[in-house]
Amino acid sequence: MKVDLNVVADLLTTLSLVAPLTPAPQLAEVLAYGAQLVRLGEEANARREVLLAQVNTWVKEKRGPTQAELDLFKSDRDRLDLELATLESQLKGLQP
Amino acid sequence: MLNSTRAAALFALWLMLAGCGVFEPYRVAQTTEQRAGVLLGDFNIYQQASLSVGQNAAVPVTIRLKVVQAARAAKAPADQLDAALREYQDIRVQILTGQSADEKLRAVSDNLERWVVEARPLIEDLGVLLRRAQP
Repeated sequence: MKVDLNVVADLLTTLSLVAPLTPAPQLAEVLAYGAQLVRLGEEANARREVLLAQVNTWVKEKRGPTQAELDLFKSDRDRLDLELATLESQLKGLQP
Repeated sequence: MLNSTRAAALFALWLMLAGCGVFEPYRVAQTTEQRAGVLLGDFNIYQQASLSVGQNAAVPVTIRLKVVQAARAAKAPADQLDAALREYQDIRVQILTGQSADEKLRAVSDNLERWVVEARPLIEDLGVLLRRAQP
């Protein structure tokens, strides 16, 4: 059975909103964390599905990635590394 | 109490996630060239996820920093893998056009294989670290 993780994430978010009204208010934090985790997993899974489709094409056509695909991987890699470098500097400043 | 409840809830969620969508493009790939491409694509996914975790104020700063630094540390091997793959593809084209020898293809093929072996655990470890760090 295929579960729609967006529905699960929305459900967890909704539950986290009503949890403070229950006898176990800490549950809200747990549910909110859970919703974040599900969304992150869903995003990665969606991107992996795209990658899987690419690989299936390579296998079917008995070839590897094209130069254009490699160039796209590289530009994404460089852009994300730049963002990670900026974030790294900020986090170092936040360290106790 | 909250920590153990949170840990149990997250473990259950992670099990659910693992059961819902396990995509293994690496297993689908049939050649070293294709496996190298999968690793490069997968690394982008992990970089993006590392950025999300690193920006998440709900995660302790030390863990966010660790995840971000692990993603940055794997970048150089990924670049080397990319260079080895491009070199392999160049030589293969040269062989097809009679401009290079099979020996040279074997050398660049070995080099590509070496970088796949080198980069794979780094990228997979990043995935493991991300799973542990997610809130």
